[in-house]
Amino acid sequence: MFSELNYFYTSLKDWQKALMFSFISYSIILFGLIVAITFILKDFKFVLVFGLTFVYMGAVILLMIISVRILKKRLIEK
Amino acid sequence: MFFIISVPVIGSSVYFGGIVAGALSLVIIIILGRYVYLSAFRVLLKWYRCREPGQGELSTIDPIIDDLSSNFSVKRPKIYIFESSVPVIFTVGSHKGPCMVLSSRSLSILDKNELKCIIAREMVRIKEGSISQNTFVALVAGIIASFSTTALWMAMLSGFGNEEDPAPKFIRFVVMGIVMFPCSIIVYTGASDLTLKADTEVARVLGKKDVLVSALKRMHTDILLNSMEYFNPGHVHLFTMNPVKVNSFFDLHLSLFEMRPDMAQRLNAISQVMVNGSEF
Repeated sequence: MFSELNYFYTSLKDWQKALMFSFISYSIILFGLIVAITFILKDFKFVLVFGLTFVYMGAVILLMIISVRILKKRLIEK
Repeated sequence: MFFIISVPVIGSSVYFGGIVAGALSLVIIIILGRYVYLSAFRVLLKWYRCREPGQGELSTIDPIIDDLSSNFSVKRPKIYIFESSVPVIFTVGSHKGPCMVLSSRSLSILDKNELKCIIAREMVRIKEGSISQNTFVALVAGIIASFSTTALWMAMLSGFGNEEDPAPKFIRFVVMGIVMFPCSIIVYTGASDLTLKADTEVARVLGKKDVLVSALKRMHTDILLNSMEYFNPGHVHLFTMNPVKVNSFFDLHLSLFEMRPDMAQRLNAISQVMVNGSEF
């Protein structure tokens, strides 16, 4: 399992790793938002959190797809 | 860029204040946007602490610039110098006129003919007419990219440790993940990349391919071997040679800015130019 993960990670180019870690960073923001909303409402609203996650992640993934297309055209891969 | 900023502001103005407030906010945004666009170069000159050269400091370069300005039929740029251990030259400006900025290192490692070639590259970029646009993109992308440095300092000031400790580095890495992604997209979509065009145009017009190749190689080697200075990745599209390097895992996000053609590709493009230009 770990060797497969290691193989997957090492097979990625630097800019792909950067995008992967960007995705994780944006997920941390989403986690913070969910925690804040839950604390403010003093209850875990599943539908609200699911909706927020769907919209947020949809926007992030869409932007990532667009950026991958741009990066493939403009980035010089070493 | 203007559209992205203005839509939510105008939308909320219309929602809270009606049509009049929306129209007023649109006018204010247009005026402010125009002002920022025109004064972006002043901010960048201050950013790099540029200074005007002293009396006789650039006596060898002044005639070259006069000569090249008339050769390329462009307005003579104002020359600025900034202290740096990295050989970078870039041009910023607005419709009023361009400002060419030379680092102290570039003046010390390049000889007169090599400097002429590199300055000629900047003249090609001025002639292309995208200096104002590139300057504005550099300002916006540079401000966004500098949030990661702000995060590092905030982490250090709030007791997470020193610059070399893992906690501030990790916080900076996470913030870099957030800001470098949109920053790189702004640079790629907003800036015009004229690297190969400038190289080939200079080789064609000046006719000294070997001098240009020597200058580029010298700058490239110096950056590879000696450059430890941090440059804002939002400004990479301005420079002759990309000084932003991925030195460690924590700099991984900087790889999104390796937008230049590599040296081999540039040298190959220069070697294919048919020379019919003037001699030095």
